[in-house]
This record gives sequence, structure tokens and C-alpha cells, in this order.
Amino acid sequence: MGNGRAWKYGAAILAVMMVFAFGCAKKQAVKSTDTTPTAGAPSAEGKAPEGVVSETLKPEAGAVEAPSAGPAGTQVASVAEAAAGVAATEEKPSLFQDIRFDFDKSFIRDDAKPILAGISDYMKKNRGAKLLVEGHCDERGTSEYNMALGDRRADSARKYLVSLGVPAGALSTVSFGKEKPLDPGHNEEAWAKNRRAHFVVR
Amino acid sequence: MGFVRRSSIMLLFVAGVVFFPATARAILYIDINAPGGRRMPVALPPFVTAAGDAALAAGIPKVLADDLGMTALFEVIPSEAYLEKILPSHFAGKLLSFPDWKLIGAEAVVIGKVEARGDQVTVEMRLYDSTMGKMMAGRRYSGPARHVRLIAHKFANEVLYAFTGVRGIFDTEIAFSARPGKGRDKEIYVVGLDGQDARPITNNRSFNLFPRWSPDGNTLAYTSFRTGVPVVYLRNLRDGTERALVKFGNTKSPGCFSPGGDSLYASVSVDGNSDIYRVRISDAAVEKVVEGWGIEVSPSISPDGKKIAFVSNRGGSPQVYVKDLAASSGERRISHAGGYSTSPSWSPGSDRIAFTSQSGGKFSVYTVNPDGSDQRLLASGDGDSTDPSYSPDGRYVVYTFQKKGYSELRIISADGQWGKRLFSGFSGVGSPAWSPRR
Amino acid sequence: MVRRGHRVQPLATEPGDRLFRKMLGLSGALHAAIFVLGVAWLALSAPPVRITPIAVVDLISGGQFAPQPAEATRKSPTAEARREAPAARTRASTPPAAKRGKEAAPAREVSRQDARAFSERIGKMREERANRAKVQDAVEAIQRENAVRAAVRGIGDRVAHRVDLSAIPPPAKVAVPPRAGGGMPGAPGSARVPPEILAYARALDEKVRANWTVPELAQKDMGGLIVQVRITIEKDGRVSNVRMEKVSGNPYFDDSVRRAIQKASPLPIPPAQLRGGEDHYDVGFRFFGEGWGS
Repeated sequence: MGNGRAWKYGAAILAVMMVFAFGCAKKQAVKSTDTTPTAGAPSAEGKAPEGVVSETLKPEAGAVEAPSAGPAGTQVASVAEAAAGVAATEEKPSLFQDIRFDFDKSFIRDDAKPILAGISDYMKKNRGAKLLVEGHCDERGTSEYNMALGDRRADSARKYLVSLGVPAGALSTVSFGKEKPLDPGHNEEAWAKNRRAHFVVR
Repeated sequence: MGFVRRSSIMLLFVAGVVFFPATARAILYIDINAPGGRRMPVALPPFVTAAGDAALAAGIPKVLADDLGMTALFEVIPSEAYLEKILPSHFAGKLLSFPDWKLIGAEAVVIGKVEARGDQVTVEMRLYDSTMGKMMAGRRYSGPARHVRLIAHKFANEVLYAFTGVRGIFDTEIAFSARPGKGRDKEIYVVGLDGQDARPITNNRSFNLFPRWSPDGNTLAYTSFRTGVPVVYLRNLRDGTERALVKFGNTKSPGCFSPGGDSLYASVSVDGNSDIYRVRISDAAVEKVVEGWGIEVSPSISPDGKKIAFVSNRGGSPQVYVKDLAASSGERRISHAGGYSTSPSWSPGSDRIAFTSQSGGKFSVYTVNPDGSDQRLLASGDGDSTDPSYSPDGRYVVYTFQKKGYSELRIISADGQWGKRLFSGFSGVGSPAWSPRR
Repeated sequence: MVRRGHRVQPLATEPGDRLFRKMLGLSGALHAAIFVLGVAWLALSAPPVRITPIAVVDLISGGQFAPQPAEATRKSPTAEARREAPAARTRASTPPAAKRGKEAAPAREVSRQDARAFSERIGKMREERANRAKVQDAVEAIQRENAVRAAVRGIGDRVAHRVDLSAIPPPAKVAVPPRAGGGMPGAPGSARVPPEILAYARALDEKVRANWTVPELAQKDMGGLIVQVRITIEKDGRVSNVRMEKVSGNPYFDDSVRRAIQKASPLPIPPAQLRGGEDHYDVGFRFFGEGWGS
């Protein structure tokens, strides 16, 4: 009898433990972070201002346009300068032939030397004259590099003229890169004409 | 019962308990791998508008569609398929009929309402997730009517953010130089990603070239011949004021601002020799940073401001080099694509440099690592592709395409998978520069 | 047996040992209980151990798989009117063969009456159809396109993907002996999974995957993301409970997974033998951010 009761106690305790283990087994021992709404049920977000954020754009949110051309305003300092700016885009007549350059090069070619000699003579004869040497490139290649190349061509011609005895103070240079082609064509003949230095007497 | 028998019964109990918890949780888990290259279908129904504003409202869904289409993440469902008509009541408490949108496969729906008063406009837009049936983003913008496209771009950013957490660049702009008329003069323009309404920044009928953005997007540096000789100006885009920054030397062009915005790197020719200088914005103090006996031009700075890419013909032909600004020497050539490589643009997002190179008789856009490795062709056509400029997130490149006198601006994604024409209609279009984020 | 110098007695039979016996019994019971608790705690605290059959199936050719007929969820009113008449007849003819004899006659009666009512309605609908034709055509075009895309995607997917019915690998130390021959996940082995479970798992996988749009802006950003989800599928296929057991940490990826499940609902109906007599069927998914071959 004592035996049986001891075992009954044991079995009872064990059964209780089993129930606990069984119950725990049903429970998920993992993190659960979400329950989704049932399919298609929308949340109550229909009202106008709720959830809708207001934002006001300033007039200068986009870049401010240029003021229309004219002497007033900070863009153009003076009428004379405005004229000079427009004139920069125009091809100026020249007393002299252009000298030409090889592609991507700025050295003085042999066929340029007689022309430069003629310019040098003129400048020596006309002591007060001022000469602007323009450097140009053909349309190939990129704009910034061509600006620098045109500058080098103009300076190369200037240095040559100085070496011939023209006073340095009478000479100035400017580069227009590929912005002012002489010949608008798209072939080797046009390009050869556009790789040039152009001389304008002031 | 014998002891042994009792124990075995006990053990059986134990075994049952031990096995039970495990078997109680035996369910199937199915592995699913992400499908690549899927686009999220989005519906963009026509906007609700009061009479008279129809023209204003008509273009907005198209701006949204074009912006979202750039990302290769969305595809727009054609409007003929839409079942539900959007009404003003949808902005006053009425819910969308989500099953109608799910039926045609839309996962996202953008509805909008436009109200114009004089030259002011108010646009309210909402993005709905039609699968889960909830609003993901809602915005009401007010501003001048001319900003209606900018408003659409801003909301496209919201849509992208809502689904990916990535900040979009749809409200950024591109500055460029172009000939508006028959003359040779060029002006600076700024245009949005929709390519409409390019606005002139200059109007002096001279040569205005090489626009470059400050890091805060408020200033444009550019070269202008408007006094007859080239000068680099800084234009304040918010109030329209301007000042001359670089006046020394002869030829000059702005390359890029320092990442902090306090200096401008520019190439300037002095005595026929073009080098790269750093000019401090506040007082125009000048410091030479890259020099050589040849032509040094077109600086583009790395996002951390420590290295600079530039063009030099010291090797006989123009090529792209990278220099460590802290070091006095050690300039490394990184372009190996052809005989003539120029116009580097350092990506602000990824670690790549785009440039143009002539090969096979035409110019194409390439990208390369800053150490010169992994050079890849990005954009090539039956003409010249030049002047690349990266978007602020490094995912897109704008460039110039030219062919025998015709020119246009194009955008291509950095992986080359998507592209479109941005702007055409002027001649001599070139030197595009992509603005930073606002 | 009697040993010299010892007296072997049966355990605790003397009356004086009653207390001792009780204590022994209690002690034994407590020891067993502690042992049980200990093992149960181990089993619970470890990641879910699954004593499910483990199978990895590489599907090389998709030719065997018959595509499920597309389940239309809801239709627009006009389309519904047009389809109801033929649908009623087909529905009436598809009940299981066992019941066909019984139901065929009344089904035919019903469908004749329905057919008359329908043709009247259809007549009315025809008048309005001109206005709606364009909308319908566009909707159908899109549905056809989606179905074609899903079918094409399905074929491509089947060639390259695996239905991996294993779970997370069991921890190194487990008191539970693994089932013979199937201890490690991912081990190629004969499919111990009954074919109906396999087919159903495949159907679920295809439907959910076909509805999953991953908002990847750069695929490489999504690599390594994993979402583990457990859902309950009701006997009509409706998804009634979605529990995110493990989120990826990227909320946009997690949202895309929720949307995928929602869009795929109602899922294929769980077969009765899988449900084991219950009204619902629990299944889990693991969504991986890195796609095959992308």
C-alpha cells in the first residue's frame, strides 16, 4: 500500500509536469512582431489633412531667370561692355591671313612663317598699332580643352612675333576655342581652316 | 509492479514528453528567392482639377511616370485600363476602391488634385499601397504656378522613398550652355529632368560657357565673354546677383567647387600655359594646385575633396590624370581608352570617374575606377558622346550627343541599362552639369 | 541469493521503512520531473527543432508540372455577367466523380433556369458594353499579359530554383536523436515528402513568388536579407494570420514581403489530408533577398 501511494505521488507529479511541458510546446518560443490586416481592409486614412503634409515652395525654389537684357541690373555693367560682349561673337575682318595649325598642336608651321613676317613688318611700320591674336580650334574634341589649346596657339603666334621684334606691349591674345569656326563644314577641309590664329588690328 | 517495470513506464512517459514538444511544432518552411528585375506596377490616374486648370494638371502624371520610369523599379499601367475614376471626394474622406486597382495589377496608385488661383497653385498628391489598402505618403504643395513640374518631381521623390527608403534626385536640375538663335552667342540654361521649360540664366548675347554648381546648389560659376574677354562669374540663383571671381590670366574655365563650397577649382591660362588653380570664394585668393608645361585643364574633385581628376596633354595627347591634393607629386594617368580623353566627372555616389574618349573616329563616354582599373564603355552612338556629368546619387550621367552640327543632351543610367533624351531644340548644346540635391 | 556476510533484502519491505519508501518514491518522481523539465527547457529554448522529413528537390525540367488554372478573385460586373453562364455549367460538371451521378440532374435544372435569366441580363449588358469595351479590353489585356508573364516566369523559375522544405539547421547539441538518414538540412536525399505535400508547397511557392516585387534599387544591397514568416491558410485559401518570425531589419524589404503575401492571397487551397482534419493549415516561408542568377 505504501509502495503504491509513493508511486501514485510520483506519477501525479510527473503528470503535472507533462501537462506543463505539453502546454509550453504549443506556445511558439520565437519572436512574433506582426499581424497583418485582413486582405483588403484599409486603415482609416481617407480624411484630407490627416497624414498629408503641407509644403510651400518659395518663388526662388527654381533658379531665378536672367533679367531681360538692358543696362539696368547687375548683369551688364555698361553699354560699351555689352557691345564688346556681342562683338566677341562676331568674326572680325583682318588685314592678314590666318595661320594654320596641325590637329591638337600649337607649334608654328613653316607655312605660317611668311604671314607672321608680314605682320611683324606691319607692326614695326605702325608703331602705335595694337594687335589682338585670336586662337581657334576645329569642332572636334571638347570645349574646355579646346579653349586651352586655342590659347596656346594664340600665345605661340604672339611669342613668335615678339621673337621677330614686335614689342610685347602691342600684342594681346584671346582664345575662342571651338566657338567661332570660320568654316561651318564638318569635313577635314573645314577643320583645317578652323585650326587657326586670327589677327585683328585694334 | 517490479522496479524495472516501473522505471520503464517512467522512461516511456519521459520520452513521450520529450518528443511531444518537438513534434507539436513540426510545420513546413518554404524557401523563396527574390525574383530579379521585377517592376512594381503603379497607376497614375488623371488629376482632379477645377475647370480651367486642366492644362496645368494634365502634365503632372506624365512627369511622375517619366521620373519613376528612370529607376527601372516601376512600370506605369496604361490609363485605359483604369476602372475607378478619381473624384474630389477621394481627397475628402472617400476611400479608393482598392479591389478595382488590384484587379488591374496596380500595387501603387498616385492620385492628385490641382487648384490654381491666379499665378499660385496648390497640388495635393497621395500615394496609396493598393495591396495593403493604405496611404503611404501624402503631400500638399503650394507655390507659383511655374513650379508645377518641380512639385511633381518632389512627389516622385516621395514615391521612391516610400517603397525603397532611397532619396530620389528627381527635383534636381541640369545647367548647360546652348545657342538660342542663329548667331554664335551662347547662353547658360537650367532645365529640370522633364526637359521642359529650359530657363535662361544669362541673356547678354555673348559667349557664356561651362556652368558649374556649388555644393549647396545656390550658385553657378561660369565663364562669360560679355565684356569682350573671358571672366569667371558667380551667379546667385536665389536672388540673381552676380560677381566676378576669376579675372587674372587669359583663358579661364571653372571646373568644380570644393566639397565644402569655399573654393572654386578652375583652369586658367597664364602666358599661354593652362594650369589648375584653387580660388577662394570669399577673397579670390589664388593657389596653383596642378601645373605642367603642357595643357592642364578640366578639374573634377573627389567627393572627399582629397583627390582631383584633370586633363593633361603632357604625354603628347590629352588624357585623364588623378592627383592626390595633399601630395606634391604622383599624378597617375587613368584613361586608357583612346588617343584623346578629356572631361572627367567624379561620381559623388560611387567611386567611379566618367570621361569621354575618342576611339574609332568618334567620342564615347567611359567610366573607370579612380586608380585607372576596370574601364568600361558607358554611352556610345553614331556621333560624339561627350561632357559627362554625374547625378548627385551617382546613378545617372548626363552628357552631350552631337552629330554633324546637331546636338542634344542625353541621360543614361550608370549601369547603362536605361537612357533617354533630355533636351534638344537649341544648337550648340553642351557642357551639361547636374545640380546637387536641394 | 545469499552472500556471505550480507543479507540481500528486497528493497524496503520492512514496515519501518515505509517512510523511507515514500521518500524514495517522491525523490524518484522529483528527479524524473526535473529531468523532464530540463529536457523540455532545452527543447523550447533552442530554435525550433523540426522533425519533419527533410528533402531538397532540384527541379531540372518543368515539364511535369501542370499549371494551376488561374483563380479569378473578383470580377467587374459586366465581365461577371458574361462569364457566369458558362461558368455555372462548368462548375456543375466538375464535382468529384463519386458524386457526379447524384448532382448532375439537379445541376442541369438549375443551370437551365440560370441560363435564361443570364441571357436576359446579357442582353441589357450588351447595350452598355459599347461604353465599357475599351476599359474591359485594356483590363483583359493586362490580365493576359500578367498571366503570360507569370507563366513565363514560372518556367524560368522552375529550371533554376529549389523547393527546400528543410527548416533552420538544428543546434549542435540536441537531446533528440535525428530521424534516420535525414539529419542535416540541405542534404540531397530521396524525397521523403509525400508528393501531394511537395506539389502543394511548389504551388504556394510559385504563387507567392509571382506576386513578390522586391524594391531593389541595387540588387547587391538586398543580398543577405532574410525574412521568416508563418502564415495560416484557411480552407478557402484565404490567409488569415501572418506572423513575422524574423524580420530582415530593412523595413522596405519587410514591407515587400508583407505585400507579396497579401497579393498572393487567396493562396491555393490546402488539401484536406494536409490539414489533418483542421479548418486551416499553418505553413512558413523564408524570403531571401538574393535572387538566383541575378
